[in-house]
Amino acid sequence: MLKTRPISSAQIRRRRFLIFGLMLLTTVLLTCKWVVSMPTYAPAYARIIMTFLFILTTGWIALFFWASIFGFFELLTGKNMPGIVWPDKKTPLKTKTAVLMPIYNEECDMVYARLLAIADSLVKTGQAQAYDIFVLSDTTNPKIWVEEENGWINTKKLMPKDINLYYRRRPQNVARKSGNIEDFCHKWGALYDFMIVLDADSLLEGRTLVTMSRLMEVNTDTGIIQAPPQCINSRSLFARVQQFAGRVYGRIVSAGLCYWQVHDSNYWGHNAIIRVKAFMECCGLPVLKGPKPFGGHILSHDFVEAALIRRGGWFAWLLPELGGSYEECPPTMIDFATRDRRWCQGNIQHLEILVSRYIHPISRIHFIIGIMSYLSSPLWFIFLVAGILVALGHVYFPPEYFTSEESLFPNWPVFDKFGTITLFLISMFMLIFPKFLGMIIYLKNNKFKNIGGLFGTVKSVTAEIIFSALIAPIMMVFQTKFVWEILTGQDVGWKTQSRDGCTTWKEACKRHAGHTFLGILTTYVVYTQLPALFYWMLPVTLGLMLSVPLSVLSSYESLGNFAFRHNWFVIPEEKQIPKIAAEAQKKASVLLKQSKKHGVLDLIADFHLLQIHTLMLEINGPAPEISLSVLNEARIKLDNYLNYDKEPIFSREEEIALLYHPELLEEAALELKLK
Amino acid sequence: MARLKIQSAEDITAAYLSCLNIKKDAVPLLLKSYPELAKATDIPAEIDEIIYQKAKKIYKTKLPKIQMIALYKAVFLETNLAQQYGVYPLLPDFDDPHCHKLLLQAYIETAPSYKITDMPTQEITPISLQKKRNKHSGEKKC
Repeated sequence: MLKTRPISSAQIRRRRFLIFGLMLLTTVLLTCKWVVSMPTYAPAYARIIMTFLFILTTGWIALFFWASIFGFFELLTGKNMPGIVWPDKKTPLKTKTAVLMPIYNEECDMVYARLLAIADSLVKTGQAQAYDIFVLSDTTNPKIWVEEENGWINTKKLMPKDINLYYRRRPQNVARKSGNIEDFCHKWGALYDFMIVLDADSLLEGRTLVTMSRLMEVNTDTGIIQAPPQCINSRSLFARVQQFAGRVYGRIVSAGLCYWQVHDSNYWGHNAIIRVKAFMECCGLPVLKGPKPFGGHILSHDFVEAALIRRGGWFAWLLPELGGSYEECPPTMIDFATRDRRWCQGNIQHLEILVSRYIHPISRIHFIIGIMSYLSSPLWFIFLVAGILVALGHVYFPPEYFTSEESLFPNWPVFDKFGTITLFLISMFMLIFPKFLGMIIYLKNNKFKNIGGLFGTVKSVTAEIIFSALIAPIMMVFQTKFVWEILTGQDVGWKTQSRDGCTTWKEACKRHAGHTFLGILTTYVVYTQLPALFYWMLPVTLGLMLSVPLSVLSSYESLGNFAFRHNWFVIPEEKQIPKIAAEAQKKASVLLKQSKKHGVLDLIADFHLLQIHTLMLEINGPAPEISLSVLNEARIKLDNYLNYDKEPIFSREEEIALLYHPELLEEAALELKLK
Repeated sequence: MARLKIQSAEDITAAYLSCLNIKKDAVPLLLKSYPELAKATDIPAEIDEIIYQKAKKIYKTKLPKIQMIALYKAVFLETNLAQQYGVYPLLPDFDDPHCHKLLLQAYIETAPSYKITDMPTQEITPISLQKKRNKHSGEKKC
């Protein structure tokens, strides 16, 4: 059992003063060095802009550097989060928790398999009766809708008796995931004390769920507890590298965040437990004024909900001590960028909330961190471009040694090359050193045989640094484009996240053509006009020029497997697969054999499934407005199928129209029997 | 759906019963117990009505009619009642406590009953707008 460590408000303030004070001090010192190192031949406006950009990017790096240092020492000394009361493990739960799985056009066999694994894991804790599981569907694809209902029937048969499995599908996807959760709260929230929100790829061990509920029971002033998820089940090289980075550096990042956040943490949208009463009182999200993408429903709702719950006086905690919390990485660079596009828009939307009244100062810092995660890319991009332009300006517009002003001495341009190199090395140190600290903790806490050995870990960290250095400029350009699109009013919507599949050469050429061109152009300009900068720019230009092969090759599972077999990027969860993950895979293979992929045709062939679908319409309603012509068209296609065996190709609207008319489906089912 | 209209009452009834895994030879017994069934213009709807009346006696829920019928049929199939009782649960005077117990125990709850609670929308007002509003309208600050 973890010890409760008290902490006073003064101590918390001291921690924050320390971190942000060191961040500011570092930024000021480095900026002073930058100002004196900048080439004097650059125009004044260029120097001002570059200094401003330098301050923003350096402050950003410095914050994470110092947080990582303090996180390192917290982990080294084995200290757990202060301020929160750790419960006795033996006390039975007195509360009721709803485990929510919001889904949107997902591969539902795996979703249900994960829920079964979580349920089985809960049974082993002896506290399963305190939990109900809800599948909250916003699925718009009618075939997947039917598949979900079929999956629910089959999963219910395998579900432990103590745990209820419920299903609800919303007819209208209003406000996306946040609207989905809000709908649950509106209809059933009052039945539960807490809710644990999952993502479609989330896994939480039973002991973790029970610990979270216990923590909420004893810490009655707490609104949210976030369990940082660990990436597992990665197969492609790209995903394995991200998974490795998360495992090795994630702990130190989380520990650093915890050090200064304490009870003012953020919420990441999943793998977290929330007090339903607090959430319902404080987190009803408004529709932001103005046109999309700034206005409209809040995309990245999690940060806002955390800020609102904090505003309501409830605490929010990030507890890395919890463990047993898992998720999956996007398998390819392009999938990663697609997810990033959505998050980018969501974070930029927070600009309005950042400057709203009554938001806690630490919540404002969370918003700034989120916004800067994406704004730093265009800032860095502009910084690089400005630097090249200034250097080019010096080439094409040689300095005037003797101006029209009378002077005894020539006007020597000054450029502190050594100072600039020093600044570059310090920046690299601040970026890379925390990774080595993370590696030290990783080696300290794991048996070498479980992590590919000491040499395996060191070479993997080195390779990860090189890999991330190569993809950093690609992500910089992606994110710069995203920010530009958002600022020019282009909305992203909410596409289903891809959870497997590799990138083809064609797709990579299409998505990275701009990156490759930019890399080649920059290399040419620098090589011909600014040869002194060629090798300094190589980390940026190389990544851009190699973006297509990097994107394709890193998406291959075969390369991911090859790397694993040769002890590259190995994490303990790959050597000893968590039981819950192995269980989920087993259940998935069982459920896959029973899955149905043909929508309406499956319903009319399976009378039992049809009855379940009809029964569920009461909760899944009301039906949306359906045009009579669409319904008639659907009836004709169905009729042709029944009478003439003509395979129907329903449009989405036609199939949904039929799904909302069970009397037609009953008739069709009878016709099939009569055939 | 032209095919249904030209089938005989026995064929349509048999098709309906086979959806519930009830054998074809139960058709005469059902038609004898419900003579109006043979003359009905919409036999499936009539059998649905029989099922609805049966369901109402067993399940004291407030489900709409169409869902009540679907519930009974789903439970009938899940408990494999046809194998034990054939068509008898649908007959007028059937009252077997064991059968009723099976039907009750197999009740399918797809979601709990609602307990509707409001979730008020929070106000997120940028600082500058708040100040402007207060300046012009004379409202008190929070």
